[in-house]
Amino acid sequence: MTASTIALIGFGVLLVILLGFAAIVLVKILAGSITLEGLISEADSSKASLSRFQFLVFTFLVAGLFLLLTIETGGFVEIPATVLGLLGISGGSYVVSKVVSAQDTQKKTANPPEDV
Amino acid sequence: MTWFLAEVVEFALIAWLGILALFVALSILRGDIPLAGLLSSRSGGADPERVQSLLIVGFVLVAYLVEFADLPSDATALPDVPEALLALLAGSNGLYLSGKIARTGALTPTPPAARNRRREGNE
Repeated sequence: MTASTIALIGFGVLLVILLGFAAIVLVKILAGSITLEGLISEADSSKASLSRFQFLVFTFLVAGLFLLLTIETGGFVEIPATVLGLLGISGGSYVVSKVVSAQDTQKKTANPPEDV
Repeated sequence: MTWFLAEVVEFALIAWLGILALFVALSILRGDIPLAGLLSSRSGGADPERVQSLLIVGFVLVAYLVEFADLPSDATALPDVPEALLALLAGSNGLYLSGKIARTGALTPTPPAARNRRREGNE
């Protein structure tokens, strides 16, 4: 057995494992075992979060276009710094929004409204 | 053979991402992923900073898709995001976060009465 054959078998096994993980996660999401109900909701309520929605939209956009272009060109394509900046802005906004919400919840817990 | 396996992976990944995106979109349309309150803070009513943020996100999304559609067939990189769009998005997010901070008062200091209550609770 040559080294290239061993490498090919190893690559095939790795592929099966990784694609298997991806398939299991997708099947569980479609079956409802992994729920996406709180995907864009704030941590402490069922209210939708705009920063989470924005992060989701831009993540799908960049990932989808990257994969499409990779298939079209037959090899990995470059991701410009400005695209990473776009993801950074939406990700940063999500983190700051989460911190603000957490601070607000903490304040409300420490200082509950008094009954008049 | 390796080339064939790589092609299988590429198509499997795009199919996986496509199915997930479609499922998320359908869940949102069916209401399984709620969008209630997307444009309002907890006090209710649409907030202008949220409305402008959503409009800017939609604009940036469409503008970038147009840039992608204009790519030449031999492109080897994703299209650049114009700096004006980045500045617009950053400014819009800054406005949204400022509005959120102002409305929740999350960064204002705790009133003295509450600090005393907390101290009494710890004694």
